[in-house]
Amino acid sequence: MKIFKTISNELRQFYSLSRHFLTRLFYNDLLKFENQQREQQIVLLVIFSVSIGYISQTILSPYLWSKMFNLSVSDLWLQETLILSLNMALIGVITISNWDKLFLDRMDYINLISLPVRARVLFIAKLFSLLIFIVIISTILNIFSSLIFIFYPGNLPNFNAFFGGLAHYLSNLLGSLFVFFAVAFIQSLLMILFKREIFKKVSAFFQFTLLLGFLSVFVWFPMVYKSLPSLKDNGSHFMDYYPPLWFAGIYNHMICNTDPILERNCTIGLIAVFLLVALYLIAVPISLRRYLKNYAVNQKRIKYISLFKYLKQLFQQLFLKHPVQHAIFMFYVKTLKRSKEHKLKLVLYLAFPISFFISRFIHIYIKEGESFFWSVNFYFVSIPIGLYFFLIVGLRLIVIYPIMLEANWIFKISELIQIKNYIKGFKKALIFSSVLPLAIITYPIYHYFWGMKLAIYHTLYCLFIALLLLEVCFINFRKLPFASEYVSGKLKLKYFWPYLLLGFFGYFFSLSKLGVYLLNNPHYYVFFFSIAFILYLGLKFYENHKIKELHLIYEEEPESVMLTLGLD
Amino acid sequence: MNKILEIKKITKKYNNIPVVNNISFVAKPYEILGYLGPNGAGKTSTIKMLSGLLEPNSGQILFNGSDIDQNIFEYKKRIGYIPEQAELYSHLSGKEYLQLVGRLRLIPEKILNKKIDYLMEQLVLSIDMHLPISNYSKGMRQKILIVASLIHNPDILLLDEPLSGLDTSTMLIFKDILRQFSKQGKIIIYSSHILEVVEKICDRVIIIDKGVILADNSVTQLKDLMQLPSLESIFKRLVHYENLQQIAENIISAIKSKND
Repeated sequence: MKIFKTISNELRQFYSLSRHFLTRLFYNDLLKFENQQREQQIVLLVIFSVSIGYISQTILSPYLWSKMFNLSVSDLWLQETLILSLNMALIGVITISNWDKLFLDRMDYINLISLPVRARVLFIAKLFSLLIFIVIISTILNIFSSLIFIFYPGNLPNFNAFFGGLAHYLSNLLGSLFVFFAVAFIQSLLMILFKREIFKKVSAFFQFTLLLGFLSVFVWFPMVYKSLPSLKDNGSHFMDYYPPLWFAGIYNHMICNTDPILERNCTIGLIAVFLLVALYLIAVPISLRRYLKNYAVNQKRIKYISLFKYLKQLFQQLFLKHPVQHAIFMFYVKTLKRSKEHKLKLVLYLAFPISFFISRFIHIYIKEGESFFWSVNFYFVSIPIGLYFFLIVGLRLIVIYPIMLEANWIFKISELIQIKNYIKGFKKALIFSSVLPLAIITYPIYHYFWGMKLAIYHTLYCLFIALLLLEVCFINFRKLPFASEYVSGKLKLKYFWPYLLLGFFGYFFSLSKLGVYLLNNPHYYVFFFSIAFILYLGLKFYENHKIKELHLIYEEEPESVMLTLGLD
Repeated sequence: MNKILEIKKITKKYNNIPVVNNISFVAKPYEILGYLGPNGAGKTSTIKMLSGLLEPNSGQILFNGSDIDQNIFEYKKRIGYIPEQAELYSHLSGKEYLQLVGRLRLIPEKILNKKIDYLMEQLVLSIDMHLPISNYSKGMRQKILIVASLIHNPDILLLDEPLSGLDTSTMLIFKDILRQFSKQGKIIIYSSHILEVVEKICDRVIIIDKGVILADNSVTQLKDLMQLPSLESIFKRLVHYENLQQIAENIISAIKSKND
């Protein structure tokens, strides 16, 4: 009787914990500040699901006339690979956004460890919640594509429509599980290998790299897609090392199509999934023990190197003499450095252009060779111009999300009558922490390919563009970074996105072409810099005049349309 | 200069319900004014209005005879405020937070860093000053709040449960700080539930309930007027807290019935 009572209690605890963990997984760090987060998540998932369904429909539509296009069951693996690639990349992005909840974290530990709950119940509940989470997400993402995969190849001989749809669903589910547990295992491994403080820093780097990798799939895979049949026929190693192809092998096996390469992939895929889940189950207890042991250790005082301390003081005396500018500068820098949510959002904005440029670089390098980069060309000139746009616009979108909004009382209570020093401190932080570092990173590359003179010219050209873009993006901006209330709908992106898109293309192409022209005619730089400088001064003068009588904004009213629709 | 903080018929309403209803009083220098009341009496709303964080629906707050609304920024420079249950930026370390506050208060950098290092040493926070505030205990956070409110040497101190979470020695230090500040002519308004502390350190008390002032006098005079031995008994009488024993018995019987 006692055993039955224990099991019954543990089952009840298991149910409560699983529900709790599952709810936490659906609280997304990327959408943390959005109103009606659940509704937003559902909308996003439906958009992704419909998009994948639409892509499936497009690539499978020839199968409606399979005899005309001479298609057969043995060709389906190709379309399945494309859908798997997109699906697994999306799951990767979703997993990264739940990085902090992939295993028992500090919040779980503090809240649950003092309760009469056995460790095994905690672990099983966590694992169960992770599995359910990924099944739910994968099902939503593939619901439309599964229907397409049932009906479209239905005319093919030797094809069972129902099993075809089931095969598609299961192969995508297994692919999703693979990606999810691979990321979770990497996290556990990092926790085992590194001390807690180093793990925090390394963790951010890995999150960024993984996010970049997953997002780049959307850019480069469609380019490779058409070459897959020839890669398969030539026995390329790509077939063995590209994970979506393993799960395409599972799909191929389930629709009873025999192909030795894909059969091998099927075996690899199945082993990979079960191996990863097993590794995750082994790694988690070890990493948890290590993590919790390190948790209570006091941070040692950081001993500054004297030179660094001296440089820091020199920088403060040169650029941050006014204490309010200094306060806002440091607050911005430290918050962006330490806030996971804001870093994740910034990474998301930057990942697309970076993956695009890297993919283009690889494509051009393969096609044209290294000699292409020794001459002044549109692609090479445009890189910092494009990156600055996404960086500055990304920062503009991120700084309106607050960190600990309730703590902004300290700014309200100490606010001065003139706000110009707050704005100046903020802009200096943007310039020194984001704009200048990008210039410093890109200069050596241009110096290597074009020599010092053209490298300096182009770096300064891009820097001036960045400063002007910064002034334009932050014109009339009277909020403190990360310290004001976020109200959705203020930027009215839903209405203005076509104009913004046009604006981006206009900015990108015209300034890149101008950059090429100036590099080929350097004597015209003096005109450009003069005009840019005058424009910059004009914008500064306008801003100083405008904000003279105004105060900082901490709260805003929602847009009237948001109020009407009850979305405030 | 005659530094007086005058509150004249201020009212604050939430959803048309007055939480502070037409109250008036004066806070003078060289005097620690206690501000007492049960939960929901309107204490925190009053303190927030005095700090400029909340606007009254009606009434005036005058400092040195001038409406604070006319020059709110100059007024804010002169106040130090310890809120109840204050949120701090927990991603910053204790030192970084105080540097933020000090810079916002326009304290020159060299003086600021010396002040912070010295004050943190006095409050036994030196070892932990580089740790993020998220690692601090409640008492440590309260110490940071205390330093943050005093670092710019304000003329007016608005304190809402300032001793919450502090250890005994720090409480004693802080009480002494308040007495010395009072002797220097600062205006101090001390809002609290802890009657024993208020009775010991406050020169005058205001008792408020449901947004209305019930008493405004020195503790000694209140005891004489109401013929009661302590501030606790005065408080119970005025706020109608005389059936507390019955309430406690009811709670215990409710707990017992759930577990049977």
